[in-house]
Amino acid sequence: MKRLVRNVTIVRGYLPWLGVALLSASWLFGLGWFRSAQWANWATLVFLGTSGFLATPTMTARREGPALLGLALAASLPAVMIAPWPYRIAILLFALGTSGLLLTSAMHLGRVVAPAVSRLGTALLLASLVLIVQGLMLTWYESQTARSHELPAPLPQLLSTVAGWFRIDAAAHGSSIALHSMRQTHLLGATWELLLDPATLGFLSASIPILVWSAWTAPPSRRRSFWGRTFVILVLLAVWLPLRAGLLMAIYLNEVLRTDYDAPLLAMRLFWSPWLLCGLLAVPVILCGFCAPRQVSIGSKGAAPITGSTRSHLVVTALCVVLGVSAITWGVLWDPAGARKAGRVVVEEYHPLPEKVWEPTNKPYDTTWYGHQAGYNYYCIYDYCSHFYDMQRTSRPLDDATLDACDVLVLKVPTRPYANAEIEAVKRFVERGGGLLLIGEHTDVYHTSEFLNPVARLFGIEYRHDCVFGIDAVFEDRFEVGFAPHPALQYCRAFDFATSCSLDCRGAAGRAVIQGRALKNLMADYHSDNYYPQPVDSADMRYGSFVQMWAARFGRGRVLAFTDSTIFSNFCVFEPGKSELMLGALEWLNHESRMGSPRGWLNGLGVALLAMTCLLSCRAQGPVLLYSALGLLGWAASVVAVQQINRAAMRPLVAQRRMVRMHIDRTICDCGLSKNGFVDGTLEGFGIFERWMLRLGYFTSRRKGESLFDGDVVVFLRPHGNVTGEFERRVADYVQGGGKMLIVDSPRPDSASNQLLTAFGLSIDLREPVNGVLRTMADWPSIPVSDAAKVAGGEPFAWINGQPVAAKKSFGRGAVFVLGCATRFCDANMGRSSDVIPDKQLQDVFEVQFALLRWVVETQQSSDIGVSKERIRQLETRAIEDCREPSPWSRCLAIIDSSALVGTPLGRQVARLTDRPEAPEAHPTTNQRRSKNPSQLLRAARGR
Amino acid sequence: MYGMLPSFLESYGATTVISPDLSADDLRGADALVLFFPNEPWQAGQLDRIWHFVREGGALLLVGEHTVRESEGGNRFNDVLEPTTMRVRFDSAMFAVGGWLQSYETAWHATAAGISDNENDFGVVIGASLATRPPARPLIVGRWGWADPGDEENQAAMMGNSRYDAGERLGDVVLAAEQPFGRGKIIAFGDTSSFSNGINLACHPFTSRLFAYLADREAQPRPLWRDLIAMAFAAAMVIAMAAIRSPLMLAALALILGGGVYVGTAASHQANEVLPRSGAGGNLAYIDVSHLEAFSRESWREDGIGGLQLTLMRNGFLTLTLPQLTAERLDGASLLISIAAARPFSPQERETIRQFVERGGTFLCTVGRDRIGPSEALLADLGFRVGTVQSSTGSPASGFVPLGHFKTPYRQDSQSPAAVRFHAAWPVVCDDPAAHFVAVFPPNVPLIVIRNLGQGRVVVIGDTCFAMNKNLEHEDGSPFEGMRENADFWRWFLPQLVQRSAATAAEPTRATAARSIIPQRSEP
Repeated sequence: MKRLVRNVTIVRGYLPWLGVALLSASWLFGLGWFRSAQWANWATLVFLGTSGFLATPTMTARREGPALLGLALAASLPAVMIAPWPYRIAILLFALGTSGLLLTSAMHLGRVVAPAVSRLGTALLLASLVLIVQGLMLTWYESQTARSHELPAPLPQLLSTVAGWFRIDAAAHGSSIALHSMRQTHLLGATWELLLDPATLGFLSASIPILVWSAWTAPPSRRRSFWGRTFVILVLLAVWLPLRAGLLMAIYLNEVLRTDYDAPLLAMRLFWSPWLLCGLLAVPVILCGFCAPRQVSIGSKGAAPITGSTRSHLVVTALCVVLGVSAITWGVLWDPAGARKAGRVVVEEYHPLPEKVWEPTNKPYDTTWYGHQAGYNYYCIYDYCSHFYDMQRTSRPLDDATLDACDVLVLKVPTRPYANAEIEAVKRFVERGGGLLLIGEHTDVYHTSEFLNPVARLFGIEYRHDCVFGIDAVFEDRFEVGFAPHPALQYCRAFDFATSCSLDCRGAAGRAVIQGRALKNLMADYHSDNYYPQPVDSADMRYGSFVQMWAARFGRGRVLAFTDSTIFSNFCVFEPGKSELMLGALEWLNHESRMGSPRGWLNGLGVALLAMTCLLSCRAQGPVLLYSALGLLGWAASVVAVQQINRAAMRPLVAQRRMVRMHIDRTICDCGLSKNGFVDGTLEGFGIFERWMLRLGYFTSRRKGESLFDGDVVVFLRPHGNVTGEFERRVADYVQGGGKMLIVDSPRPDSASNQLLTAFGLSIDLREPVNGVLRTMADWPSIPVSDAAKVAGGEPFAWINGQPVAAKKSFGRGAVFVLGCATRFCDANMGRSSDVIPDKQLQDVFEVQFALLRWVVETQQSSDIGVSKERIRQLETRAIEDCREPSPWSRCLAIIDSSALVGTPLGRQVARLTDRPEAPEAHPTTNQRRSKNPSQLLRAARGR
Repeated sequence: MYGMLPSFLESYGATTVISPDLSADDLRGADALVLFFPNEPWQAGQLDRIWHFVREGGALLLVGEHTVRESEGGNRFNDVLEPTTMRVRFDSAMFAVGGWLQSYETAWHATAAGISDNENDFGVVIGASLATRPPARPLIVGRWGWADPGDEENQAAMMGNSRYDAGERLGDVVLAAEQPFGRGKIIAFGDTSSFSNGINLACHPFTSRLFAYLADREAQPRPLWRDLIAMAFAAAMVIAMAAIRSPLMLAALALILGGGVYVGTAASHQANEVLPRSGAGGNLAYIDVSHLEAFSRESWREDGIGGLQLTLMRNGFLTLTLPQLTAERLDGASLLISIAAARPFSPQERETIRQFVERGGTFLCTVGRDRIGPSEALLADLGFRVGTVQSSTGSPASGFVPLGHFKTPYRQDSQSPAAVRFHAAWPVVCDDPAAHFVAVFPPNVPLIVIRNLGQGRVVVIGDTCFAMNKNLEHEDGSPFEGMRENADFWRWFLPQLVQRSAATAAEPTRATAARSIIPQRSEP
């Protein structure tokens, strides 16, 4: 029996450490550090980890009393509401634990229930405190490792030596450890993740304070012994870290050894396995359980109750806590926007080599230019931004004169180097308050990073010559904007990276705007033309978090460095989140703050206040629970305040010029659309149909729910599923109010088109498909069509074999258009790839789409102004050609003036715009841009 | 193929005779007889002559193969082994890890002491297992593997199903064994791989010891006196462990035991090392493997250098890997190749290489900027930089210049200009104005640069993967885009590299002179 009791006592000594370890491991699953978040595993580990604290001595919380406990509970609730998962669990456990103590303190629960509730409350509180400490440490760790994963010397050499103890032929050089195997030499990254992974850091960050605290608060007679044991544990843990890394390397090589000759090498996955990392915590748990003092003192057991004389002391300490936490929160989250500038944006176009122009802005994405290069082009985003800013291009070397007339300078993927004088000019530009947007690309493709880095290094930033991939799914790198984003991201919810590089921000002052998680990188493969490596796992890849966008301040100006130029290309810039990102970045740079970054002094103030809190609390043995809750309150209040200030400082942008917005419905339509520019290519995909809208100068956006209805045209591509009555009414209201709706469908049993069309007196026959040649009322090309649906009602405008397959119906101030030939316009029948160069037949199909969309957008306006569609198109074509080949503005005017526009509303509009440029309030120089793009001018005019 | 074996043995000072009939004259005066995969019917008297040769103190190395059964039953190996207690089984010794990596268990033996099994240092692949009983004793055992019985119906070399089935021997498969026979000794291998051209170049530390052991008529695997001493020590250790109660003392005892084993192994390893001596033609080429080079040690992977090894052999080089970069080993060599080392060269090694070159050797380094780090100091010593271009002022320009994958002409001065392909090239800059550019990136960025240093030469090729299979030779011999430019290039280039002086080449090293394998013998 004695032995049993002894064994139980020993096991109980290990349980809290096991709890700390399980809670540490839970972060890997909850945050999705290396792999996607696994919530079931996370919840299980949190539950088990919390259970580990049930064996600890119960807190009596005599110091707080019911009133202060109630106050603590109330103070913690706002943080529960605000914090995102999995951080929220820490605060939730705090609130629950406080509730438990409050119950036992305020109510008589009986001899059986009261101790149980008290024990449970104590366990929840301890778990919450452990989680809060771990959460803070891991957040800091992530921010540091995202900047640079590399271990400083001599740690790589140390790890190499340790590897030798495991009979591994290893050598260190720089930040790599070369490991020998027959298959290959593995240049394993000597990284922080290898030496001190997040799980181990979580364990240490919670266990070391516990050990130190228990030694600090030990009875004087045993204090020396406690300190001694704590010291031994710390030494053993320090020894364990390199041994653990050596063990990991040995396990890795064993996996390499066991991989079949022809099988792909996937051994790197070991380093990302949360279960393996969790398993390796067994050693620290055993060390702590074996060596730590048996009676570890955690919490405020046995403290004296509060008396009146200490009440003022309590208030001062509480204030210090709230202000200290608030100051640090502000220091971390707040990047003051400052005052808005004039919005003069200059895009640098001199440094693309003439023979290797990459992502140019000046060649229109129109109805005549097809192929790969047409997609890798910034014309559309430039055009889009020109509706919000005064956009200009510069095609000569940068100098002070050029930059004086500019608020934001965009340097994008240069393919030739900047001269030293240009770099100095950029530096001076930023120093005196300019905003600089640097856009790089993966792997130094076309030497873009090499040429961009001399500029980036001025601000402590370096573009790595790498590619960043998702760990779980290689080509999935989706960034979800967090709960307290940088102001540049506050109107962007999420977007997909194509393939970015990463930023080395070791020496940079500033903050990460985009810090991707669960990523891995590969360095450039100089064998391939674009240096893009084969996306296979390799020992030299770094993994974890990476900085993909960085914000820095320099002088009075500011810099944003972004790492994936591709996402702003024509072929994907209007996928969700990307155009918002560009506008957010420009808007952030279009502000100037004279106060500089407050981060340093805010953090310093916060640390000082918290240090004072500790001092006061230790001297007076104050109510720690209450202080903790007040800290949470300060954090929550600060987060909300920073969010509101950011929104107030940078409000959503409103276009300064008329633009046609085509909203693609995703409420009841889930047809395949492009992702990172890659179209579906199947009969179910409409990625090309969507993208071709851009060729007409319209701007697309995928919308869902209410946000669908703030565009000019709503497009439903093969709607299906259940349409709610509310949605039907909203659609009707939208059209009634002047919106236009285009439904493109084909015979399908699950179509929802008729649910939308009934209200407008239109219907589509979904049972009997018709095949034949599509003929229209106008001079659109005739194209062969199969699997079309007949349309009833409205004014037909297209027929197959004499049967209407498309119709228009005016409704209120708007109109509804329905086209039953969806199959004709799906990706599989539109060339399968957006890089397609059409033959005559395919060009005719495109022409029908163009004509249809133009008609949908412009028919009302053209009838207003009495100009035929064909005439407008001729004008537009000529104007675009004129713009493509720079020519005197007078020629554009001549085209316009000599046309049938004279005397028409459009003519008057043009005259007004050209003769008497309007000056929008926020963008007085926008008209300079207008005068350089006649096609936009025409579109703008038609839109009024 | 075993065609390089005579050169290999001669590099250690031995004389090799290839005997068509094992005549008495051929055997007379020989120290060792090697039978590679005998598959012809034995002629009358041949077996008797072999047994007599061994009984009289000669050594026999019999190398068999897996699943061999002659039409009349049995096999020629077991005919030779008939008077011994060793037999080559009709099976395949299959490994759990390819190449028996981390799977060897060796006897305490002069040939195997201190040789690790991190790589396939013994060279066995899939051969037959051996059946042994005393007085024969296993020499090499495959611990993690199984014996897969042969299948006479199987057209694929009568091999079994390559799976472990119930009843098959699992683990501890004997791969090589030895038996004293008369005054001599017989060593039998179940697999020929260790001695083939492609494998012997890497496992020569073992095979050289094996041949030295065979040629030494006095050598015994374990002298009785040594066994007795070891047994006495073991008994003392057991008694001590039983008597000692203190954990610390036990730990100290274990440390002493471990240290003793380590020291004994190291001493044995050192004592039995044999080194090649320079051949008359100065044709020994070393490929450095002591610095964790970038290439795969599995010869025919894309990143392997099987093609380079064969190219060197085709051009008359005895090609061996270099396990330690020491002056003693380099003494016998004319060419040293380093391919993008990942372990930095120590100052002593750098000095060794410099002296090697100055004495007439050729050092060839292929490395790009992507892997330059560990080689940078060595190349700087030799007056080279990789990755930068030389500015007009002669100083290196800032930044690195990847040139990528392309072909460029060489031999422009000849009647038939040819092109050489680069996998991912980087510029090479040499301090020596007299350096010669073999290939350049147009118009004048040097990629392959040769400079003379002392009596020798240094060649730097700015491309990590230049000599790898993916840039030189496919395993199946198929051309690259219809051409074999780089094979042609090496054929043209190699003869120009080695101009080692005859005096230096003929001078034997001390180590090799001391232990030549097969003494000079009278011609038959």
